[in-house]
Amino acid sequence: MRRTLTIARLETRLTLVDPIPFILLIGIPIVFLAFMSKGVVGGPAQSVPGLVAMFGMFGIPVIGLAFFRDHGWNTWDRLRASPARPAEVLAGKVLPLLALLFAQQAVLLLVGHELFSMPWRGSVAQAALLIGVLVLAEAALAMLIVSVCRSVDQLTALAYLGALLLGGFGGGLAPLSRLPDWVNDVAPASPVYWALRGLRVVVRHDVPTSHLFVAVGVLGAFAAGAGLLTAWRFRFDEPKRYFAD
Amino acid sequence: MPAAAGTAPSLRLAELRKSFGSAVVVDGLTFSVTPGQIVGLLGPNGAGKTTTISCIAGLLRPDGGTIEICGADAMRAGPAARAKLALVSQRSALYPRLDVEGNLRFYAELSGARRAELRRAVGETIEQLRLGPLLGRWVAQLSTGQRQLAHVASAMVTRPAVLLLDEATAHLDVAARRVVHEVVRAASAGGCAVVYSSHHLDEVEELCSHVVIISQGKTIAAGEVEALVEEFGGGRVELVIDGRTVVHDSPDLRAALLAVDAVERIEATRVVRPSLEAVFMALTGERIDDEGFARSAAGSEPPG
Repeated sequence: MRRTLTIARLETRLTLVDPIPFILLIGIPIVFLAFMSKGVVGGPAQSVPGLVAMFGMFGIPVIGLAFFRDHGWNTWDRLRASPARPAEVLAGKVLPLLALLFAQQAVLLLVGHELFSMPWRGSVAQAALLIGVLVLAEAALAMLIVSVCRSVDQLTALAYLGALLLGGFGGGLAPLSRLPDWVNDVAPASPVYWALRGLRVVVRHDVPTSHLFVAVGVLGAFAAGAGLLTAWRFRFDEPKRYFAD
Repeated sequence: MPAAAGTAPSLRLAELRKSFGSAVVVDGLTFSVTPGQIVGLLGPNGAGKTTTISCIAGLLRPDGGTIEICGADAMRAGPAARAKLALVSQRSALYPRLDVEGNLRFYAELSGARRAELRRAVGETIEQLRLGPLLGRWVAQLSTGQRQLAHVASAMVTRPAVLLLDEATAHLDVAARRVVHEVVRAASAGGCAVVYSSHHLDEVEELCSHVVIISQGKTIAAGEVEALVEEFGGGRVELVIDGRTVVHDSPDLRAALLAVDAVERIEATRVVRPSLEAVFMALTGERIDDEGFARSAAGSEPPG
């Protein structure tokens, strides 16, 4: 536990030394909201949760890069040669990023509500539950991508394009009602679809938490499935290239 | 290399083997290092030094043999065994977006140091390696040599029982190399068992009490440096005459010149004093060039 906290503190410092990626992950969706919040079908109750879920997916490359840069700095082998167990290293690296992604999505919901007139009829706890499980799914997907990519070029291509695909097909950019039928058919394969479904319930209705169980359950299944695949595929000793060489 | 009587080795390798595909890189390596001993792991590039060090550090899984660190099987003990060792590789492994002290604090804390102990370890290491002028600077802003010095510090700050240095002084200037040697000697005096891997024969001879000479993954000689030099390193003179190298098995240049009929045809002379270099030549028929590659003692590439 101590070693996990030591690594988590380091990761937090490294992230805060260069906070630009996280500032952009909050700033750019706010810019999008400025011209999308009213024009989109469904108004802010559709556009804000959509962009929250969509830009949450861009946390996937951020988590992935946190692993690859250790390979580039040769510190990955240092961590491997340290007394820290693999699980402690993984937890220490991912936990601070989970917290930052949670904060990113919470801030966007808050900004959407305060500045862009997004309604809010559910409870904060319900939104926190949804965001929490969505962030877990993002982290598990990020780890799965890290486990299959050999180079940072592969990671960035797969993670950014994957985030765009999951966000677009899940209804994060445009309402599914405006998209072709086949997109509606494949949308449930994206965690963004389920996050949106849950968030829309929270912002539009004051309902018991049990109404969110399906969305939370499916997002949890995404997290568990990607986590299991990662556990099967991830090799702590697999060399990875930070730069193409 | 047998451990000194009555002293349990801090590191013991027995019949270590490691292959990559069909290439056997480490082939039955056996040696041990007692507390306070500095053992040089000597060999040309490709001899298996880094692979051996990587196996000890847990970065590579050996195909066979055993590695004991402070009496514990390194494969089974895992983190507990790794807590006792520190690795300094040829390439620095520091966080460039942290300053030197931040890096030292992280590695000390990761090894288990807390509060006062951590502050003391960091302070002493900074003083020992004379890193004062580098404090407050990001590692990314340091020169290659400064970075490597900080890298050595990040290993020393963990107060290891076993210190592995793999070509650790490769990027250092003479002054910084001397500082590292001082620190390694101080660690040794404090009971740390040191494995010093290098292709620099003079450096190993200066620093190490014992040496394991390896070639193509096999031990070709092991023991006290002085004893090996006495037994195999008598020195020689190499004379290049009409493009051919003539070797005299004595470091006496005068005697060698007197033995030659036509002194005017001598194109080059080279005196190899009693040293590890002479030991290496005597045992392998090769010498190690400045880049660490094995060359035939006659000055050309070895066959194959």
